[in-house]
Amino acid sequence: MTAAVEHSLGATLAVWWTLPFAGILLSIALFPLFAPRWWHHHYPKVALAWALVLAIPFVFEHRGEAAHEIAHVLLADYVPFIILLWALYTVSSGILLTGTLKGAPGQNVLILASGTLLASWIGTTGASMVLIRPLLRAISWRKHRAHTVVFFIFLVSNIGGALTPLGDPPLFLGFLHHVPFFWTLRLAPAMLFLAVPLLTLFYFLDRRYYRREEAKRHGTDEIMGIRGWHNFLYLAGIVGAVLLSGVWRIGEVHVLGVDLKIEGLVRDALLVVLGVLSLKTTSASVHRANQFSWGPIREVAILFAGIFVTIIPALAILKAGEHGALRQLIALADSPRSYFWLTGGLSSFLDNAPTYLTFFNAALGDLLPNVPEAAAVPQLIAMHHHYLHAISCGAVFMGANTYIGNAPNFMVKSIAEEAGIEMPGFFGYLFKYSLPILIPLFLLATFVFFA
Amino acid sequence: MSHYAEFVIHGDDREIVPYLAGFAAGSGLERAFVFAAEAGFRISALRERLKHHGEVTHVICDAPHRDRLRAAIEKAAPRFAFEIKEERSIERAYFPFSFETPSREVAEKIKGVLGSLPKGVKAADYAPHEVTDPGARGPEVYSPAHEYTFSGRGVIEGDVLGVVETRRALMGIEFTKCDEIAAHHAT
Repeated sequence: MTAAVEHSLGATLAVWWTLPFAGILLSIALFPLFAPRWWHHHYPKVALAWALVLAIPFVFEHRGEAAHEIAHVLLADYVPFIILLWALYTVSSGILLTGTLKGAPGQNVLILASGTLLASWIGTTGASMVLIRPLLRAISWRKHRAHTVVFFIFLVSNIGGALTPLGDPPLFLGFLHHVPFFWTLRLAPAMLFLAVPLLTLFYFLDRRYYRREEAKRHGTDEIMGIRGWHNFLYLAGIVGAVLLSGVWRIGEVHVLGVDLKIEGLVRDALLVVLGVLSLKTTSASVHRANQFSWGPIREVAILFAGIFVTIIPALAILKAGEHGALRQLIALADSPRSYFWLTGGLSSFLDNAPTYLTFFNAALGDLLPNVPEAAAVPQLIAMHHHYLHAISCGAVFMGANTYIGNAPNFMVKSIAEEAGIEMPGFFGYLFKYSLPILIPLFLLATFVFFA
Repeated sequence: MSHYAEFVIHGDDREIVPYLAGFAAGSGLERAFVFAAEAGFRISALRERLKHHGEVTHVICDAPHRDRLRAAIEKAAPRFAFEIKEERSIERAYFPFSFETPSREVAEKIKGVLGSLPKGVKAADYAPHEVTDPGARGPEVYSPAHEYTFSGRGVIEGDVLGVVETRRALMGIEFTKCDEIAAHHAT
C-alpha cells in the first residue's frame, strides 16, 4: 500500500467499514463452537458473503482506489501467504513418525519438546500434524490423557512457532511486511521463558497420573522411526527460499497495477516446486497414515481470502494513526505491555494472523505516522523493537488461550477426540488449563519482557 | 422382581465401611451389597444428617442376603456403636445417561455395554443416533466436523445391582455422562 493512498483512505474511512472484518473473524470463532456441522458445509459461502459485503460498497464508493487496494492485498499478501502455508503443509504431511513410545512422562516431555522446536521450522500446523498421532499412540493405554493433549496445544500448536516466520502465520505476514527473517529469533528468550516451566509442570503432572496408572500398562514398545526423511530436505529448501527472498533484491514487476517484488515471485515459484516435488516423491502410504487431505489448506485458502479482503479498511484506518477512526484503539495501546495484552487478548479469541497485522499497523500508525511501510518497519525495529516484540509474542503465544485462538488447536482437539480422548469443552479448557496455567505465565512474561 | 433392602446405618463410616467390607470378603458376599454413595446413588447428605441426627451410611443389599447383613450389623452394633436407623425396600433403580462421541472405538464400547445389559435391566427411551459424514473426513483446522458421530440418551432402569453394574461400566467409558442413581422404594 502506498503512503499517499493509505493516508487518504485511512483518514476518510468510517469505523463501520471494519464491521465485515469483525464479522468474518467472529464467524470463524463462533460457528465452529455453536454450529460446527453447518459451518463445515457452509463456511465458503460465509467467507464470500463477508468479502462481498465489504468489496461491493467499497469499490462503489472508492472506485479505482478500492479496486487497487483489493488487488494489492490479494497479490502481495494473500497469494504468498497461501503458497507458504500450502508448501509447509504439503511437505510436513510427507513426514511420518512410526513406532510407539510407552507414554511415560519423560518420553511425553520429549515429544512435546521436540514439537516445540520443530514448530518454528515446519509451522505449528505442520508440527501438530506430524506429532499428534505418535503422541496419541504412545498414551493410548493411559487413563488420564486430556492434559497431555492440552499441553501439546500450548507448546507445539502455539508457543513453539515463535522463532521464525515459518513457525506461525502472523510472523510470516510480518516477514512479508519487511520484518527480517531472523529478527524473530529475538523471541527465543520469551519462548523459553514459557516453554521450560510448561514442560516442567507437565512432567510432574503427568508423572503423578502415570504412577497411578503404570500397573495397567499393556503391550510392548515398538522402535521409533521416521518415514519420508527426504522431506526434511524440502523443508530446508523452503527455509532457503524464504530467506533468499529476504536478502536478494532483483526488482519489481507490475501486475494489475500492483508492484510485486521479483524475489518474492521467485520464492513463491520455488515453494510450489518444492511442494510438488514432495507430493511426487512421497509414498502414498505415508500420506495415508497421516490422513493427508487438502481439507485444511482449502479452509485456509477460502477463509483467508475473505479475511484479507475485509481487513483492508481496518489496516488503512490504523495506519492513519491519530487521523483515523480507530484513534481510540491506538490511544489504548500506548506501551509494549498494552500491545502484548491487546494483541494477545484478541488472538485468544480471533485468528492471530489478522490480529497481528492489525496491531502491527496500529503500532506503525502510532509511532511512525505517514512513513511508508518499507521505511517505517526498519525504524520500528531500530527505535521501538519492544513494540514489535510484544505484538509478535502476544499473537503467537496467546493463541493457546482457547481452542479458537489458533487454527491447529481445533485440529488437534478433533484428532484426539476421534482417538477416544474426551477433551475438555471450550470453558473447561479455559478455566481448568488456560487461566490457571498460561495467564500467570503471561503475567510474569509481561514483567520480565514488556514492563 | 425381588426387592432390595436399603439399610441406613448410623455411626462412623470409617468403621462401618471396613467392617462391612471385611464381612463381605469373609462370607463371600462381595457382590451381594453395595455402599450407596460409592455406587452413585442420589443421597442428600444434609437431609439425612438432620433426619438421623448424625452421620449415616446407606448400604443396599439384595433380598436373599438381607437377613445375614442385618444380623452382621446388629452383631457389631454394641462394639462400634452402629445403629440401623431405617430399613427400606427398594423395588428398582434407574439413572439417565447420555453420550456423544466421534470415536468408533468408544462407540463400540458403549454398544457393548448397552447391548449386554444384566438380567432385569433395560435401557428405556433409548434412541441411538449414528451419523457418518464423508465430507468431514480427515483433519480440518477451521471447520472441524467429525466424520463419524455416535450419540444417544436414555434411562437405565431395573434390577438395582444390575443398574449399579451398568453405571460403573458406562462411567468407565469416556464421552458418557451418567446421572446419579435414583431408587424406587416399595410402598
